[in-house]
Amino acid sequence: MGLENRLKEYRARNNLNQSDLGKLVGASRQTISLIERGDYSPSVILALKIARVFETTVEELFLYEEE
Amino acid sequence: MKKLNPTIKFFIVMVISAFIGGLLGGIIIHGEDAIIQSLINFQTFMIDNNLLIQLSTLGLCALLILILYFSAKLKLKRLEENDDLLFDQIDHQLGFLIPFISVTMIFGFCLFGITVTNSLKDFKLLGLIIFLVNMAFTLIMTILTIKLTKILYPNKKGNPLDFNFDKEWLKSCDEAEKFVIYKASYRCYQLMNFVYCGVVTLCLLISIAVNIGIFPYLLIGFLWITQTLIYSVTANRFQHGQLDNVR
Repeated sequence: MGLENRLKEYRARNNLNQSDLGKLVGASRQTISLIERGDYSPSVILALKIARVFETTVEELFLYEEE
Repeated sequence: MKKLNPTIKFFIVMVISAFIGGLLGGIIIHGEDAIIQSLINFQTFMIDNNLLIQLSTLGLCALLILILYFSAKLKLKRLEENDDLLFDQIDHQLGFLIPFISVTMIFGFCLFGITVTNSLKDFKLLGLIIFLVNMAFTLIMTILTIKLTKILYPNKKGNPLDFNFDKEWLKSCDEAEKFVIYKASYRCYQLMNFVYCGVVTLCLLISIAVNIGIFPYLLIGFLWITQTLIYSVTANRFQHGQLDNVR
């Protein structure tokens, strides 16, 4: 299971593409894409920055379940 | 299927390696003359045709670099904001182009080394000219490719002519890009340990048939120890509070 996220859903809701979100949090489009696909777990700082953009909490965006 | 105990697996691999080593050693002793002759033939071929090899190899590499560079440049001109597919294509192309330019530069050094080896007998000025042209070409292409990469990734910083380029470039990468660099570097470190081991084995096998002198062992030993020490010292430094990842 590992880390799941609702980034794509939040991005669509806020009408942001991957590049826009990347610019807002200081990351590249590829990094946002990697996070969305679940291929990369962001650092606490990046997760907080993303949550701040969507005015929500990290727990709301990211869900971790023990395998 | 039940997994083998790592210790047993290690000893099995050691026994098989020793057997293969012995077998190869035996083959080399029996085919000593043929091996010596083929090594001499290869060396003679490389020295006699060095200029042609230098010119054709580096010329072909230069042509490929130019094709890839101008194709990436054209694609970059066509790139629109939401065209993720084209963005990824250019990214892949540039990701291949930068290491390919480095490989061409390394080829240039190696082939010039062969020219210099032969310089006591017959120094060829053209060899030096090809080497210098290749150096200038790879340097210019590196600068141009970095410029293209910066258009694709405006956050990237660093001037390839600056001695601190690597540091500055790494600093401008985001955390996932840094993670990729760290993972790739560790993979390289791991694989290089096998490569050094393999090259020493190869030298040992060749030395059964041909006297290759002590320098190959000294050189490999020096490189292997340097790599191991740099890794260990850097890892130790990072473990004691110089990781600096709070950004």
